[in-house]
Amino acid sequence: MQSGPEDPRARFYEDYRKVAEDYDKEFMKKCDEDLNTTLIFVCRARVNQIHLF
Amino acid sequence: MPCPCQSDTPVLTWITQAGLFSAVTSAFVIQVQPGLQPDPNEETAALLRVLIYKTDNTTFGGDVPTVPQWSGPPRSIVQVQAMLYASFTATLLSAFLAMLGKQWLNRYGSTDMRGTVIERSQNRQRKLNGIVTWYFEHVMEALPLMLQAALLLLGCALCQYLWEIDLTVASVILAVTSFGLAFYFFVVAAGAASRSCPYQTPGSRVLRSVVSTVPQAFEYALEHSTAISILRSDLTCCQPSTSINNFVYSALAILCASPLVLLILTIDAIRLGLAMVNLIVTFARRAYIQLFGAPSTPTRGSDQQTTSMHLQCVSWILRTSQDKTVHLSTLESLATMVQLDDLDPAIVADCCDIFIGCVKVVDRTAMVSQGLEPLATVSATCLLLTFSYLSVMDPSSDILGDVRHRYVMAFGPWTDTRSLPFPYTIRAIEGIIYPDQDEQWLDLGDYKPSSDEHFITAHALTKLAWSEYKSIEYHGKKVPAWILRFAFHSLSMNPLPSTSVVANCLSIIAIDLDCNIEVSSAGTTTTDGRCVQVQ
Repeated sequence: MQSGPEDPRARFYEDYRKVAEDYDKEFMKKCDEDLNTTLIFVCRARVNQIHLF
Repeated sequence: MPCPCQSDTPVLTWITQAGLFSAVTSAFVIQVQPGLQPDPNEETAALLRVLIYKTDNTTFGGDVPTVPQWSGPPRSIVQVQAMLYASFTATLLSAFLAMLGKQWLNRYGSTDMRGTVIERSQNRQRKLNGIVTWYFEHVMEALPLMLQAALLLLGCALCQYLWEIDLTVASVILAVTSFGLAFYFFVVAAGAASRSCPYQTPGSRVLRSVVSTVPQAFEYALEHSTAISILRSDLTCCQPSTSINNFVYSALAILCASPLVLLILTIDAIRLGLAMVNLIVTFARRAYIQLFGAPSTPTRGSDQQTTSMHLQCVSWILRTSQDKTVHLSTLESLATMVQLDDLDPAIVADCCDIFIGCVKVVDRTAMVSQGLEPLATVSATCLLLTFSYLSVMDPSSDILGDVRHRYVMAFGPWTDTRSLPFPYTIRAIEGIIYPDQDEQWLDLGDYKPSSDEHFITAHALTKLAWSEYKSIEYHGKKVPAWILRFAFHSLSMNPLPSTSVVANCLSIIAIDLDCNIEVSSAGTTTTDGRCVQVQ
């Protein structure tokens, strides 16, 4: 199999890597924000709970 | 302008709301918590009353004070506290899942440092497939749902607690909580009813999928319904061409069999239940295959796995990217694939859309948009390859009808496509889409296709000819005439096309002559080593 830039498959995977990087960055940012929200919220609740008991 | 959904504003709003919610919950729990234990002040007061009574037994008149025995907390307080603690547990559980989610995300985001770009990309595609298969995003969306449930529990607990103290205050809280609940249900229903509704919640998606799944189960049950089949058979025999007596006899037969109707309907109800169970079993089987692999599936070679994974990468990128340069490199890579095992049917529709996007129709003449010639050529090639492959492997696929519809809507049979720079490919595509039109290959003149275009067309048409010959439905019709015309046209060229094309054309003719073709190695149309046996 060719491995240079003329190889259509190698060229495809180079493009795939770029698109995947952008996609994963956005996907992880979105999930991470949601998880941060949950954690901050529960953290406050937990602090109050410790104070309670 | 940045997308509003990516700004920090919603997160800050949520955090503020979360802080308020936790503060309110904790204050309320502190207020209610003493109700679970004996009140020391009450006990002290009772003892003082007894002491005073011992000193002067006329103080309380005829009443004799006693020390009350604590018989546990009131039932309503227990219920209120149970709901409050359930609310706390739900928040803690969501925190636990959120921590796990962060770990899962870290694992997904971690890149392999070893291996080629192809191996790393395919590994990443495997992980992304897992995210889709295991509903990762749904699990992440369940976390806010748990917090919403915690909020609902808090509202219920507050209502019940205040109900015992003061009805007016409790009514206000109950009204506000009910309004909030009703508004939430409205928002979920509105989000499920319309995709363009801005009030989308995870509940909307669940409701939408349930609404779309349940009718499928009903449809399945109806298709296999005994009652419906009996009625259908009776209605079939009551065609206008038959006598009226048949109709009367059928109606009488149904009436006489009425005691059986209940039994039949019960059976149908059980079938409907089984259809529902079938949905659950399908999901469980999917999970089992993901965990332990398919035991009945023979072990696939690494080449086949790589091909399958490559096709999944192609399918994903065609769905994800709108960049024409990316489309070009993707389709060029797809066009080099001779084996298309495990082809995602959606790729056929994607190829069709890209091809249609490259061609414009002016005065009923199709022409390639300026600057899109390479993309138009390679998308037409891929459309032919994938469309013919799917026609062979799954002739009943809905995608085939969908692609035909899109093509006809874009061009229609009246559009002249002869001016397109890849006439062999386009005629082969239109041969599949309009099988009744028989004049293909007659008006090509001295056009000489490139070796790639000729090879791919011959390869696709040979597979199609073989499949139509093998299928029971077309048995006896042999090879469609337009495919035979292609074979004869190619063989009449001077000089002859490449050996592969000649082998494919001869194979088409051999198939039409009812000969058995034995292929010496893998593939029906990819090898030149074939043996034709005349019957």
